[in-house]
Amino acid sequence: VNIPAGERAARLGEAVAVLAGAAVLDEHEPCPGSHIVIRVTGIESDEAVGALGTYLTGLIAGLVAVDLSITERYVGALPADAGQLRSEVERVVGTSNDVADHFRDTRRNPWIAECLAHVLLMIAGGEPGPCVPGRIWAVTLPHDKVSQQGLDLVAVYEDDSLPALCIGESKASELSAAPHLNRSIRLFREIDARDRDYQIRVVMINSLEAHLPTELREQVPGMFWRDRRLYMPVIGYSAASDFDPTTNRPTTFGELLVALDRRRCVAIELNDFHTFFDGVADAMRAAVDVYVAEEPE
Amino acid sequence: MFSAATRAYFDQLPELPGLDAADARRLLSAAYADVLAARDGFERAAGPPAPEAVAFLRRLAAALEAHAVFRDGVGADERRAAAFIAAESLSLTLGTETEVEGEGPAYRLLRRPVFEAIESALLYVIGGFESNGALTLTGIESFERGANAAEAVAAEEALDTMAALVRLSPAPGPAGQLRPIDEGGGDESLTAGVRRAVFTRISNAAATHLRWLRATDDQEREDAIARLRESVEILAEANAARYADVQHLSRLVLRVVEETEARALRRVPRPPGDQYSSYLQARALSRPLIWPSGTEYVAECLPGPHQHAAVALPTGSGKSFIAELAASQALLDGWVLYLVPTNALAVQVRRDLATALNSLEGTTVRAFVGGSEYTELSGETVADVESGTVMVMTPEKCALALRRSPQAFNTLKLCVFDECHLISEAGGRGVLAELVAAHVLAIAPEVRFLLLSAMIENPEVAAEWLAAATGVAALAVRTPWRPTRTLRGVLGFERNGLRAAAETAQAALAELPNHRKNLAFSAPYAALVNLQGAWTELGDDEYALLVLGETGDLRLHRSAAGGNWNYELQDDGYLNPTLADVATLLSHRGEKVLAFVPRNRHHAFSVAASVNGGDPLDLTASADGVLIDAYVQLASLELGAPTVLGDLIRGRVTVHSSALTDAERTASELAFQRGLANVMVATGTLAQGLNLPATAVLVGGTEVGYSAEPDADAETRVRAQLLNAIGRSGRPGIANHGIALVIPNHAVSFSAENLNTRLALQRAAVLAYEDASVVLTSRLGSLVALALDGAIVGDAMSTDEMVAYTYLPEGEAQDALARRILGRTFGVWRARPDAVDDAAQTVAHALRVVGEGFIAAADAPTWTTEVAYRSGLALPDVFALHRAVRNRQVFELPADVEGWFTLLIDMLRSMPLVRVQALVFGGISLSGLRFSQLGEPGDPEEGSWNAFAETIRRYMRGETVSAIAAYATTADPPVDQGRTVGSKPIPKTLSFLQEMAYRLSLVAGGLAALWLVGDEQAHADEGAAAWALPPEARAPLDLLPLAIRCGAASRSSLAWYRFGMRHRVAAHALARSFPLPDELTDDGATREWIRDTRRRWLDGDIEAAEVADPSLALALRRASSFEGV
Repeated sequence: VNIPAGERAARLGEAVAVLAGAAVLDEHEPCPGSHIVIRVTGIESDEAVGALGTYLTGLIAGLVAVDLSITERYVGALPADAGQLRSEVERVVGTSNDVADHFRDTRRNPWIAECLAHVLLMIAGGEPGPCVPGRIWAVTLPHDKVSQQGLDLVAVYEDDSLPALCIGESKASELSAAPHLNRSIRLFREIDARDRDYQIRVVMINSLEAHLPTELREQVPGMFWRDRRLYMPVIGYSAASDFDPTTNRPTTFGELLVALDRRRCVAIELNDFHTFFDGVADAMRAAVDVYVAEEPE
Repeated sequence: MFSAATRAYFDQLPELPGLDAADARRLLSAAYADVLAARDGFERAAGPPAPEAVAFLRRLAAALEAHAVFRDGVGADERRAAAFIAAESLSLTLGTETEVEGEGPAYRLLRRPVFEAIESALLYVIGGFESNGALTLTGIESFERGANAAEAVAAEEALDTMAALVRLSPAPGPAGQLRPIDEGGGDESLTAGVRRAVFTRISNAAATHLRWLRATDDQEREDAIARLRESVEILAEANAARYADVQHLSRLVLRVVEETEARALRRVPRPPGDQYSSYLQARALSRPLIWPSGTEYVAECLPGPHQHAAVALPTGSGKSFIAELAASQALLDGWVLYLVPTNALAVQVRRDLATALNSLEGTTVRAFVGGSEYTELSGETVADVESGTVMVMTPEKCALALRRSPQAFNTLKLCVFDECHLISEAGGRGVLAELVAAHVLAIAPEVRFLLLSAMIENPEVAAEWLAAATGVAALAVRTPWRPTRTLRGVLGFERNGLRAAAETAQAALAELPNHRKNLAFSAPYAALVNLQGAWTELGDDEYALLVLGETGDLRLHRSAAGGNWNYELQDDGYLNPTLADVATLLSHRGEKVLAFVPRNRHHAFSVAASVNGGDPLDLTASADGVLIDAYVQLASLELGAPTVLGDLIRGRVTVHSSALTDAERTASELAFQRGLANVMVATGTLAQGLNLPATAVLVGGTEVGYSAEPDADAETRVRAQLLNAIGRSGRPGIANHGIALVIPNHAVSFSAENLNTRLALQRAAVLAYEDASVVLTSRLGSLVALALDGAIVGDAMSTDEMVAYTYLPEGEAQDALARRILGRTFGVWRARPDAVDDAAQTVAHALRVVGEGFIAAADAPTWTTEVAYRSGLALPDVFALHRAVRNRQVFELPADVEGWFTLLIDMLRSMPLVRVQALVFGGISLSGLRFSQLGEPGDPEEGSWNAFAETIRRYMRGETVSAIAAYATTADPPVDQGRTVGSKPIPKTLSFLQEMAYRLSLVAGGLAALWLVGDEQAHADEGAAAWALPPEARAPLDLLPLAIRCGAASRSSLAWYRFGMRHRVAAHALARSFPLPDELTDDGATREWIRDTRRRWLDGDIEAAEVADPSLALALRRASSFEGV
């Protein structure tokens, strides 16, 4: 983590550019009725998987760098094991792909899926895209561990010259995507019921707001009041499963309290589910060296 | 639900598209109605849908919090307003949903209900409503604490410290050092380590600031706050969502620091000297913050107070604390006069102020309670008042002090006039109060006034008056700020349920024999509540309907008409049972209920008897219970039989009315104040200032007393009394919100389809008014106008005018003082603000001319005006008394109190009965008493006067109320102890004795003044030689007025009552046990002897032989210790 922040950003930028070139996002036609479906393809190529590894490890490197900097300012010194990017990465995705199924299915893959949602917003490059129909100004970073508190993703985008919220919830399941999607929808219901307000409020006021241009920042109290928000579940699943994201779901999706064009299900159908996630994990471990400069002699 | 002040908060809200302040108020009220409905088992049948209200309020909370707390450049008022409404919105929706699934329970701050509770509590503090904040934290202790990881430990500590800051309770942890940021465990992530460090900084900042506020420690605060600020900057730069929650709390705590610094008690502008610092330091422990209602007074008038102020604040908004702060400074080099409208309030103020000023060395707080009877006893007068003394008294008592000891007012520094709207009261009290205030202004050169009222609309005018009268600046404070909100409604029946029940009843009645004309049936109770505050708008969307889930009784009546039956609903007699029913219902659901019966004071007992206040109370189970039991025993001693109040209190119900003994009143107040009783049934007398707040107020009927001739004054008085009752709902620190329901004299019904708001308001018109609704006016106004017009006529003087006339000193030497007093009255200043002195002179002259004419016509000596001046009796009464004495040609003067009493009765007997009736018996019913003829036209039988005198003698000899009642009402013993009807022996006798203690002692004071002034004249004028008063006759005459008022004719019993035990029968018992030595004649020495004897008795060194029952002896000691001297 001892490379300059600028260089790290450049690596991240390169990875995003590769992913933007590889990923194909299509809005499914016809609309199922209860929600809009965005299909994502093209991210299983070696090049895309490698770029994902570089990007995700870069995100962790950024988190570690920030935490180190804060810790140093708080206690006046770096912790003894500062700079252990590899151990952080391995904490998240394991030291190899030979890990217990439970860790793989409940920790590693969900974390990668959470990052995928983040990546999909980043590759829009600040322009309106299929996922979010407005310029994205700020996005939360993925958690450093999947069990951490809070929503997977909160973003602020520009909606009719005013700030609006995008709330993402990611799931990854080889063969049982439907119940996972339902769990996502339950979370959106909790948001509808105002049970998650405090998480959104706290993140918005204390983190995202700072990234907004002045004219939008002034509108943040108004944004809470207008209550304009978009729900974006991101579901990674195997092509071999019988999950169909385009099924009309009037009693789940359809009953969320936002307009149809703000219920956007991002479907990532993977031809080889495990190969993809193993590949990303390998690429992340390999990318550690990208962010750790050699110690000067 | 919102008062004018909180409505003003809404007006300061930032502009949000589509946000309407009225909507916000409406939905907040609806949310409170839902909270209430959930708490009390009601069902809300109309009003905004609950989910809609919740969604609205949560959006509002987020928007306002973002605006109020996290925006720079927001004005202080706007920030406070937004923070308060955000806090209210959050807190009212707390607990409306279940906790979301999957949240990790690592520590409490990670749980939504806990996080939002502390967030809302901190916002309340920023908004200036810290007592509300403390209440929102009630539930956080029920969540499991985190303990395993270092982050969890730091987070729990931060939560505890923030909670202590909100509650202003002692900060956890040791003072004097900042807690270091602990080492994390080996497996702690970097993020967890950072969060732990932030929590520790929050704890340090909150704890050191709290210690600073409470003045227990000043160290490290600046450093801790600087470090928290630095932490906020670091995290702001990092801008990481994973720290958003700790950043949020950090920023809230910093705002709390800012807000509370400005209101810290220790920042009060203070006079020099360590003495005051020690007071502030000690007081900051219990009251570290000044409420927003007090900040303007503190900033503008202290130190000193160096200027006058007229302060209008609602009930329960911190008036007493403002007075305490002003007094605490004024006492340092002078004394403080504290005027209150009633003796009961004087006792309470003395007790509260003595406790509050305990740490101010050299301070004494004395209450001068009693009537306004004239006396020359030094122990009953304000002679030379030492610096550091607070004298609490009524204006009547003060009037005597001003006449007797004007020199004492040279060192008066502050006059607090609580409930100063008294000067607008008709019937003589208002005029007297105004003249007393003006008199103080005229003779106390350094006095500063602090006028306090919960009701006046125009403090600005009062302030102008004070400034004009003294040339010293005067501040007007009108802050309708209140720490609690009240939902106001009308109680009636749910119409659909009522109709169905009535139809069933009609069918049942139709089946009954023809002689059956009535059938009772039950209908569901419902309450229609307004969602704004006062009932000013009648649109349905401004109201919510609550169905209470219980039924009340009504009656169906039928009458024959043309071969058919006409059926009609009848509600006569429904009022009190409904009041009792609903009081029971609310108390069983956890509310502290004040149930008012404004119409008749005896109804309080009958309603109370029908209330079930909850599980039986064991008075021996707590210290408070034991004290209350002591007063119950004391009351039973006074009554001569167990008081029915004892059983009521053991059923958790109390009564507060003027038809109580002093001990009963204290027992009642203690039982309610200390939470042992759940319901207090009270008459309008409670409306005057006593601190007895409740969570629910019920007003049973909208008529006060029975008045045959309603007039504008009566209407205003009734309205004020009812609004004052309504204003008692809500208890700071106990409940942020309260409910006040008016039960109209005639039943009203509502349904969700037809809320019937118009009729409801018609039946409970008082709800259309705000709390403060009285314009301060002068009762002297008409007299001044007449005098200035040269149209004053002695014979046609009103009561107010007569009081004014007799108040002012007469005679050449006193003219200047009369003019000075008049020139400082509100009335003269209002009439001629630009020519006050001239106007005062004109009025004084007019009064003198009329007075002289009046005296000449009465064929009385001129010195009788001095008698009227000293005694406070009206001139015609003094003339009548003078004539009576002169005609009696008394040559041998009595040598004891009873002898003088006999002489007084003889004088009254010789006066025309109509005058005696006006003077002594006016307005009270003597029916049912042996001497009822004294209240009737025509000559009474000879025995009537004897029976009257014998009744009073028995009272003065210390007989129990039952024994006196047995004689006076000719009831056979044992005397019925019932209190539910005024005509029963005990209430009849108690009322009569209370009236006589006041009125007859006043007349006795007139007699004493007559002889004393006559005696003074006798030295200079041979014509007055008949009035010469030898010392042996004078001493008992001095005692006579007090002997009548206190019910103690002997020297010993009166001394014990005055200085040892202010309960009549108990004082007599102690007097018999410890008789006053004969050689003690001086009042001061008598007081010392009684106090010393009492102390030895309390210490157990001596026993009271006349109190044989050990349990009673213990009760007497407990009560005596509690009351102090």
